[in-house]
Amino acid sequence: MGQLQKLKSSFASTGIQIRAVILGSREDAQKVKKKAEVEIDIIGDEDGSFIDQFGLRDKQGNPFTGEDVARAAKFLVSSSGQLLWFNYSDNYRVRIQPRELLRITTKALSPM
Amino acid sequence: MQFMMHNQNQNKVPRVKSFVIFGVIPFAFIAHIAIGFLAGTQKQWPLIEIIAISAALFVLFRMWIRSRSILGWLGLMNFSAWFLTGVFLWWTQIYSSYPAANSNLRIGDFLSNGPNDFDQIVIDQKLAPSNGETEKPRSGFSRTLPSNEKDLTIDEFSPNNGLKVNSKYDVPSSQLSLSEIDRESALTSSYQATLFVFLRGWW
Repeated sequence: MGQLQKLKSSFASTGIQIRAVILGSREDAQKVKKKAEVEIDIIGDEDGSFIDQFGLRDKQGNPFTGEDVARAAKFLVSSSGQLLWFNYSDNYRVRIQPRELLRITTKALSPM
Repeated sequence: MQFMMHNQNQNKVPRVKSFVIFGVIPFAFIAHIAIGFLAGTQKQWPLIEIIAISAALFVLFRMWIRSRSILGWLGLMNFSAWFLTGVFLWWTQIYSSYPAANSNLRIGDFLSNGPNDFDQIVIDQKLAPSNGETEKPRSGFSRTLPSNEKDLTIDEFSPNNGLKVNSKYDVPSSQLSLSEIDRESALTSSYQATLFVFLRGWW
């Protein structure tokens, strides 16, 4: 998140806004935002309906409480609601480098 | 007397040496986590860390074999080193792995459902109709451009976040929003797309 935060303006200049999503309430989202110390908006998907659309619910993924969590993933959705690009990770440690993410998403957006 | 002190110093040297070598393992562990925070990603197989840990294990094991006692300081060091290595491998290769993805999304699908709590914006869940395709799309998605897309009015459609907002959009002024400013800009700015970054949580 910190790395994405640094590139937020670069994403914005290419016409992409960033929205982080967690499975939880608004208060949970605020906690995550405070903890991460980022200005990226974090959305709390309280009942998980949005996350379920993407098939991203990691059942009992919270090691402390056993609650469901969202699986780490990135989705690029156009302003018309079309899915332009997405990426799942098989391992939550392994993610796309933010600069690589910027390059790929810019490329995915360019045919529009 | 001098002979006894000399022997004590000789015993301390391998103890310090073994401790330093053992320290490579937690250091590699911490470095791996730090790299994740700093670089924003980690490798599936952290080769440098694994090589460093393997070298430390080898040297510690050799020191243990050469020592006179099986139990004792070096035995404890070796046991701790193997335990830490096990934890490292378990975390990087097993615990942090997800089961197979439960998604049948494709590039080009249309998102028509939004989160019901999007900075207090109530999202209308318009199901976009599938245009002549026999395959039933996943709930909230359609495979092709919805035929009623052009019928949407500006009040029904937010051009910036990829989500359709209905007339129920109502934010009580007394409630604290995560991003009051951005909520406003979401309706007026000209973003072409939204990158949704799904997070596990704070841990």
